[in-house]
Amino acid sequence: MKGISLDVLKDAANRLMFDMSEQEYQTLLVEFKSLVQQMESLAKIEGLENVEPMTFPFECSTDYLREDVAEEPLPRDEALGNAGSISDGQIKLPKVVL
Amino acid sequence: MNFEAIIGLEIHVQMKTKSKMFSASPNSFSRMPNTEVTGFDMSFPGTMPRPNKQAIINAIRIANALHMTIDPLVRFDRKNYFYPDLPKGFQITQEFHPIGRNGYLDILDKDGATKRIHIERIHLEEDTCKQIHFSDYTLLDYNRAGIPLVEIVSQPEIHSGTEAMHYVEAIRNIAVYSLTSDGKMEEGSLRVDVNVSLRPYGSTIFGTKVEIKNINSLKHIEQAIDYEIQRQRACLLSGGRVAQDTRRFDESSGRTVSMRVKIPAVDYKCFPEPNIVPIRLSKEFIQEAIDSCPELYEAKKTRYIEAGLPSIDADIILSNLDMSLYFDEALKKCKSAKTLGNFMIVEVNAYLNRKGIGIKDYPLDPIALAEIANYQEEGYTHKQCVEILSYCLENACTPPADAKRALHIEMHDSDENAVLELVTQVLNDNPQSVADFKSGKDRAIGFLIGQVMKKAKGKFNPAVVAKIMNTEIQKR
Repeated sequence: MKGISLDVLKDAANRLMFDMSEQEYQTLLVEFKSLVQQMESLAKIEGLENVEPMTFPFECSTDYLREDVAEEPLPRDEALGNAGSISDGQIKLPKVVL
Repeated sequence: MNFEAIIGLEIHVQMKTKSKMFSASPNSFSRMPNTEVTGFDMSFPGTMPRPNKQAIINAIRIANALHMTIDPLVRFDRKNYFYPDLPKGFQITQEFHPIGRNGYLDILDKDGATKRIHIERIHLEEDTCKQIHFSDYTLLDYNRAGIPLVEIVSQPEIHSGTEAMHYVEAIRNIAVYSLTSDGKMEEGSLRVDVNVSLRPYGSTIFGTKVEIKNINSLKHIEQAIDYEIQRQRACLLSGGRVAQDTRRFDESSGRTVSMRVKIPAVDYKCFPEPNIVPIRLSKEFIQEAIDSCPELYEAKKTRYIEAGLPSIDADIILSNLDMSLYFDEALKKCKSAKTLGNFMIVEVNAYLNRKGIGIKDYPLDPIALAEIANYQEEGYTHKQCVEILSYCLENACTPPADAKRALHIEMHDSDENAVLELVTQVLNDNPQSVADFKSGKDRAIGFLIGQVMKKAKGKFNPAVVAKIMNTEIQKR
């Protein structure tokens, strides 16, 4: 696993397009170290490779299903509020074809 | 060397629910882009998926129609990929636990024999947004993002374009008649991806698979596959290798055209969707979904045929769901399915085509049409009934009984003894016409029937006159 260093955190923040103060980076670094230590402790438990990962903390199920009723959609201006570029009510972006 | 074509199909059926798969955003065809979206469809932070009950009911109905094992524990998974057609960065689907497994569908093969196609799985998922690509930019409309889809995956047991076409047609009939989807391929509410590969007969190893996308009609499925089989066969026979590419069908040339070389399978890093707790469906819920399913295409067809409708006429009426619903209403009051079917296929369809409207906008109600068809069964001629129908349509849907009175239409006399008497008289009076008919001049019988009708002052039923005339003239 890649070690968590100050450079790694700053690089991640840069890629995610936000920034923090030096003090916040230091706090995060300390918290990450603690998290990594906890993971290392867990990894020492024997027979762990035979345990299926869980998605939910308990084996539970529900019978809830949403009734098929349409509700008021977002006003278009609000729906497109985060878009960098709009054309004819549609989000415009550089051509991408998969 | 002879080759065997191996064809597998993936069909995406878009559901016509009122709301989307995981959000309460409206699911209706809107011309205004990005007006049918909620925060969840746009992946706004904090929004959570809420599975649509009706979508799950629809999937159960399709699974049951395809004789599948239905999983009572509905679970969803995340299929992760980074592409703007879904802003979450993943699609919610059922990768690990599809709602239906191990089904089958009986279709007609290219020789008209029944063939069973096994179906691997059906699963629920959400549709992606609509992208419109221009030369150097792309526009995104998220109205489609989140619409419920059922994906149906067949085993690779189809071997010709005709079989594939029949398979898709049967799936479409199930989707349409279960009221799950409008099944319009041309509008994208039923989308088909076809995989075609060839291998020498007797071989158990699959050849290189070519995918054909964006086929928008049943006929084009058949044409695209048949062309692709010929193309791959020619390639292999000339010593070439089939490239693993994704192709599209070009309608004007009838050929498949390479769109792009297939990239190696993407690792979607699927994992269980943590925001949807598994949903336990009770036995009662599943049974109710099945029991409340509307009558499906095949069951309706059997019922129509048992009622006396010819198979071809049944197919014509069933090719349009609204037409069959109209027919069902009329049939409740009609004495003859065959006569009613004939009115629907000929007279009603001609009117709809002339006016450029659908059956939902046909002005006459089904009971009135049944009444007119019943007149024919009672002895009125087809021509008289068509006159009544026309009068009703031209006069603000006048009730048929009033139209009959207004037109002074009277039932023809079908007393066979009276008809026979006049037929004998006319045949005796016109020996030359009888001789002409005997010598092969078929038109002569028309003259003789005309003479009978003239003497009867038009009161006889022409069909009865023709029948007796034919019998009597043969005796001479």
